[in-house]
Amino acid sequence: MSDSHDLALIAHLMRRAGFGANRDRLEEYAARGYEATLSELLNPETAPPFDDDLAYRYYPYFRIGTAIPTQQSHWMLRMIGTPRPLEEKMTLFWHHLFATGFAKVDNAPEMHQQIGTFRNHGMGNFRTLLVELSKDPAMIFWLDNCESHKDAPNENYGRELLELFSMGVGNYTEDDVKECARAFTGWTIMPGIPRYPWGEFLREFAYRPDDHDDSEKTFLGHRGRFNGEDIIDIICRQPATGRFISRHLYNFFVAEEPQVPAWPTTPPQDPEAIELLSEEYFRSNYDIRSMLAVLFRSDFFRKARYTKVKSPAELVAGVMRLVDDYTTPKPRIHEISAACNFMGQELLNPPTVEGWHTGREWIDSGALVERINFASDQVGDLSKPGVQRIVQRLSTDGSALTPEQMVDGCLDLAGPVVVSESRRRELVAAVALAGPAPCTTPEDMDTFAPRVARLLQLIVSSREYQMV
Amino acid sequence: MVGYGVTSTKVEYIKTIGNAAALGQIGFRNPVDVAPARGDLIYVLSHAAENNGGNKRIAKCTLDEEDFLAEFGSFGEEPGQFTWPNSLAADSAGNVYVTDEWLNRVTVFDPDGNYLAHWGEEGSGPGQLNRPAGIAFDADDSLFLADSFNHRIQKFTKEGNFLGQWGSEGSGPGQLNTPWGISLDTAGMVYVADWRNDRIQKFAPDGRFVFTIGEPGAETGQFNRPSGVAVDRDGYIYVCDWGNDRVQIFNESGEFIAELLGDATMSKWGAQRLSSNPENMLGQRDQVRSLEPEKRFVQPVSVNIDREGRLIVADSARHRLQIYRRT
Repeated sequence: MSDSHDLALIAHLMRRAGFGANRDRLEEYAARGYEATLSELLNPETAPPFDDDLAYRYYPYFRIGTAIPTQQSHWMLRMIGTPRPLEEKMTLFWHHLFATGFAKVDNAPEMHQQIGTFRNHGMGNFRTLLVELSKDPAMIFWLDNCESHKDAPNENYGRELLELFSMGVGNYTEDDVKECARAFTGWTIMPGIPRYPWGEFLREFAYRPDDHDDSEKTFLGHRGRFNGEDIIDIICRQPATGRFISRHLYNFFVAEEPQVPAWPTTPPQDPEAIELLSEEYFRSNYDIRSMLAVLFRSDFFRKARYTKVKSPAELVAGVMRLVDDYTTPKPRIHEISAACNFMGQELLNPPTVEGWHTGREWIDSGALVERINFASDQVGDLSKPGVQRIVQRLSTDGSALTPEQMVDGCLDLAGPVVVSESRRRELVAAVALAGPAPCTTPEDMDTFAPRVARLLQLIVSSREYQMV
Repeated sequence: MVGYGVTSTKVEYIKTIGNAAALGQIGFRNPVDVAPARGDLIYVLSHAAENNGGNKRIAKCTLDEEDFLAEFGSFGEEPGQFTWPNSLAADSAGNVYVTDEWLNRVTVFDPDGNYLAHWGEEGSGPGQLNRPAGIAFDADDSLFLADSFNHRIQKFTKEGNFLGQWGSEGSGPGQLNTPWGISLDTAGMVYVADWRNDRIQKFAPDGRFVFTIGEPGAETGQFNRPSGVAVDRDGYIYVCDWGNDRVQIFNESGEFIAELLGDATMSKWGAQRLSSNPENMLGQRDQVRSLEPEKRFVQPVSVNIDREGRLIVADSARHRLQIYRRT
């Protein structure tokens, strides 16, 4: 089999550039080849949009949900059912990077609106994204830019714009922070209609020239009467910005870097990869889609399989796509999205502006139990269409399967999931306890199907399945 | 006061009823349909969210005095409960019928909200249901039902006995795509909100196709997923243009007359809520540059005409009813 039609490689692409895919879809992608699949991912507008009409019909509270679980549910439904996986994955990427929390914003539709901005601009021009971010009502309130005035600038947004959203610590001075904050004075929001008695209303961005400090500023060596967009122009031109965004993309899509606060003192594990992505950032005039194209075509991406711990959102959406449930609206979606919370990732409500600590920090004893229980409950449910298809495909030729055949078949159909040889032996031994697995008669299937489900439960409980 | 956006017809805005309320509070949560009953009695169906399932319920109240009389029904799968309640209608005896798109059944309550029965089973055969949506009674108490995922209209006795059906999936005349609201005029003609086809279709009582109103779009006379339809005693047709956040009005020939974008004012129950904490709630309102957005419909789902000819719009995402009258 040529590399371009390698199903395991395409499964890797779909796990990283999306939230995974079931076997039928993977085979469709493999038939088309890696490049055609990647092209579809990179150009989400060629696929139909997520069917929000259907979502709003069956979940009318999605439109203006006051409680954050409604917006978390809406987003999780999208992650599971989107025909545009990379667009949704990039939306999650920017939510990690531009972490904004409902705990302070206290307006769920504004959080939903911000996520929509990430979706609309997340694969486009980085400068445009930063401008939109700077006008986003949830962000303005989250980082107090509505409290930043001509005569009393608040540095919170200016600082995080440099430290966490674009350049990283060590690439600017305290004076740059102050000048940045001055440039963004007057970028504010209008008071919103209060939520009682009709539910939430969105606050609107407003630029108030009378409250903007229009005097001369010195920022990163440049002098002028800078406004916010001028500052963003200068930020985008910085080599540090190219490296910072590249390192974030590498950390999210390729391999785990240290947590962001350690970046100033810890060099990237693959400086050449960061340099390659950074070059593309400047060559393409800050185009994120072009950077993603370079990343997903690189050897360092192709080789980086099962090297990252799945985030809770990746795990939950991936499991649901595997079992093919909630791909269309169904009651109790909030229970699926809430599973993320229990695993330590409360979407739309990250712990701080720094976002979540990722990688191995997703795993502690409590979170691991939640992760395994969730995945195990789902794949152990024989009513799920995806589980039924695995059972059906395993039993296609009607002959009894040896324990080895059963384990290899389930690992293949559930991923393919690549496990260590010792893990495979453990799985085979577990299956062998019940002897051969005939699947010829209806009576055989009554015992065969539950055995497959139990094996799938063991597989998703493995260390390897927790990795992406 | 003349309704906002009305260009040529005389539609008078009367008032707003409602309050975004949890179970036990006076108000509604995502109301999706209203059944006018005897006098000025109305039943209001709150779809609400499953993560606070207690909010799924039917409120019984009066339209004139806005007396909140009772609530009944709850989230679940037991008799008398519902999971995805979609629409409701009252028969000539005042009993209330509720469709459930998830449980594929119609549940019946007496006028006081006591559970009486439920009927319906999942399937695509005659009399079976797949996501039953809008319902409406004719003058003989026969029940017309939009069987949405079967893309057809079915007719039943009020006990659930199958009487007939028409429609198939498609976009041609008489075909349907995931229909939602349904209504009858005084002559018994049947109007269907053909949701996925962005149009209203009119049928004779036996299912014979009569005409279509609308096409996809946001201009006047166009629709974005129309969800509800009602016809007044003079034949004027009111359409809930769900995806465009408006109500459109057509004459009996289907010609566009006017649109409503919403005119909400503070309701009786809303004012009571604000007065419970005047410093905070009223103080915040004073700081707002404009309260205009508060007036607008957001995802209106259904339109119904009461016995006095008043138009009741279920302004779903704002948890309220806006009441109009054509003059």
